[in-house]
Amino acid sequence: MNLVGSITLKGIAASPGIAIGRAYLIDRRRVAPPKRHITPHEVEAEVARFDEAVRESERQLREVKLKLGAAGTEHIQILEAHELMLHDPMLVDGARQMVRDQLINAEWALKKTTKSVRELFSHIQDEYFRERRADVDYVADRVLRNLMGTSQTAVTEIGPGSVLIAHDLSPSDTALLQQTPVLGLALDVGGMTSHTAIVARNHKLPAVIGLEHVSDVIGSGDIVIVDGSAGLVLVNPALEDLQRYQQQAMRYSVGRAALDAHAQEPATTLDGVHVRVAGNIELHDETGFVLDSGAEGIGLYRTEFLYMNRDALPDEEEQYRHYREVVERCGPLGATLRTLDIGGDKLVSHVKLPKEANPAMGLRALRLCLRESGLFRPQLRALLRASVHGELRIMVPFVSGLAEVRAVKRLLAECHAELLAEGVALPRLPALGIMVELPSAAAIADILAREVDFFAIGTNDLIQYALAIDRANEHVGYLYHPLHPALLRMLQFILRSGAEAGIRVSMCGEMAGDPFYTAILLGLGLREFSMNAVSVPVVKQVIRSLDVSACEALLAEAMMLPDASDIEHLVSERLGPMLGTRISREVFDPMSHRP
Amino acid sequence: MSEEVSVSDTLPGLSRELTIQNRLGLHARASATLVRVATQFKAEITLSRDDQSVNAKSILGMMTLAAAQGTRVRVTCVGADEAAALEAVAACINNKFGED
Repeated sequence: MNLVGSITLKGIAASPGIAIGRAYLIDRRRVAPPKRHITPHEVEAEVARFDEAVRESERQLREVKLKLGAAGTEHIQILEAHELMLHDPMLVDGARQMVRDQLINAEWALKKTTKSVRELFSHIQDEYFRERRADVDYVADRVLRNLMGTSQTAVTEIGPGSVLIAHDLSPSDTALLQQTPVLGLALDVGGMTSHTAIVARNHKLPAVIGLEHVSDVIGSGDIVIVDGSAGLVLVNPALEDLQRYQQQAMRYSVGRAALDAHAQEPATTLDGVHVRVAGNIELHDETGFVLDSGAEGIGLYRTEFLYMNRDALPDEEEQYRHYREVVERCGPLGATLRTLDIGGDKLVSHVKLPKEANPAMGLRALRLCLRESGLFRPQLRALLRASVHGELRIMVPFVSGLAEVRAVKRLLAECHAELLAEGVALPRLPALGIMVELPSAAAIADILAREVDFFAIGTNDLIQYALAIDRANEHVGYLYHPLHPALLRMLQFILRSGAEAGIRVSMCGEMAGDPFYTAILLGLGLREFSMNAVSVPVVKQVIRSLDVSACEALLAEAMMLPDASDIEHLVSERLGPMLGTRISREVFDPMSHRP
Repeated sequence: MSEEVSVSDTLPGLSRELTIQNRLGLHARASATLVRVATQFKAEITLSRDDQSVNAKSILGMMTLAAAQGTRVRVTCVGADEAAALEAVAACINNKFGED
């Protein structure tokens, strides 16, 4: 339906930037088929009409496949399975039979057949097989639209200046997205780590996802603003909103383009201190995009994403291939791979574990890995094998004390010996580091620094555990302060301990990628940052605009203040003059989550 | 691996019990591979697991078996080219559908 008034929807900011355009709705869900009874002498014509729709569907699938080309064998395989479904006796013969037996029109017969096939799937225990009913829907929907003469809304048919609105995108839609002139997209479903979100970020398409009802309230042709930085979608906005966003979009793209032009340049402060800005990735195929954004290597590869949304655990060979590709692409810049950081609750389909009352403090990450060596050993072996191909560093998460570090070292040595005995050439053990993200690890940073090759400070967890604040909890979220004096003292101790032991210390939490905190972190002595690709050019430019001695003075002043809000106030006040005009507000503000 | 037996003395056809060995089981891609093999034959080809039987020429049917790695399935072929069909289907399953 088309709305007359304007409306604002809030979702998840999946890919930053602003898109303003006409909505192009891909409506795969709500096709209401006409239902009517037919006379016996209409049967043959109705079956022929059905067969023609199936042939047309086949032709369309072949076309999508051709357009995809080499864009992804995985997508091609899905499309080939869909082609086979167009010949499936259960679906196609079933629908034909129903036209004859029940004397109903083809649309109705197809709808009924689809429903019964879906039923068969919905009783399956296994989630992968149960979810194949979505494939049945995609195929049946295509035939239905051809029967009804409704045009297939293929992503490739979208004209320039459009904003794509959909409940969800099929794998073929997502693959084709890369070749269409859409300005942005808004979806009902999806999480930050969904494939669509990653593709949107990689192609710099502003995107808001997880909107729940966007495809219900927007009609094709509506004017839509997608604010991928704030996670907002404005439908048929008021004139003043439209003008405000048009200006903002222009300033953003100008500012962003200026930053991106310098993305590959080093981040050296005004007083000549080089700072390393690396990138975070979740999947191996993000590496190229992150490096193109100016990241100096990978500072955090969250390997657990390879374990999610699938039927079986990835084996050593598959892990090895992914890890090897990442380190090879990074070359001398190197990559830090974090071992499985996952809670027992997320692995239930593979590893049977008891339910826990408090999973945040339970059997997760390194604790789980040390208990389930069948889970951990293949990963360590894959990491060791991949380390031959480049600068690979191994990092373990959620360390609470020395015993865990030593246990990891023992396991690593065992896997190393095992591989040597198997004849694998491993000239040296890769660097081993830990995430410093638990208050206990922060408090004994001096002890741990003597035991490992590097630290990576995980601020998300460190803040959460040190302040005992669940940021997502609306009742206590107001207490979440990265600049709490307790945190600053911890960070200072961690960085000093690292420096005294002569080991590298980096930071890879959200705080590292937020330009509001860059000056304070430089003042603390941090010289290695790791963040999401979109933040890299911004933080690099902020670093180039700062003077380390001024940052140190700012920190000294901050350390004298008694409360988080005083420190936040101080930083807000000083940052503007410190940065001058060297970075545009339009780029800085959406990236900064200043309190 | 398994002995080949006539389904029964009175019923026509050949049947053999096999194990799904590939890591992902009879998922979409493996089912597609098997359908392409099965549709080359005239014989009716059935896959059974416990009390459920499906047409091996139906990709949807095969996926509703939800046969994971290690599942035992019985393949039954009935028709003029039943012997060749059984060999081809068995080879496809035992070759792990060309995967792994």
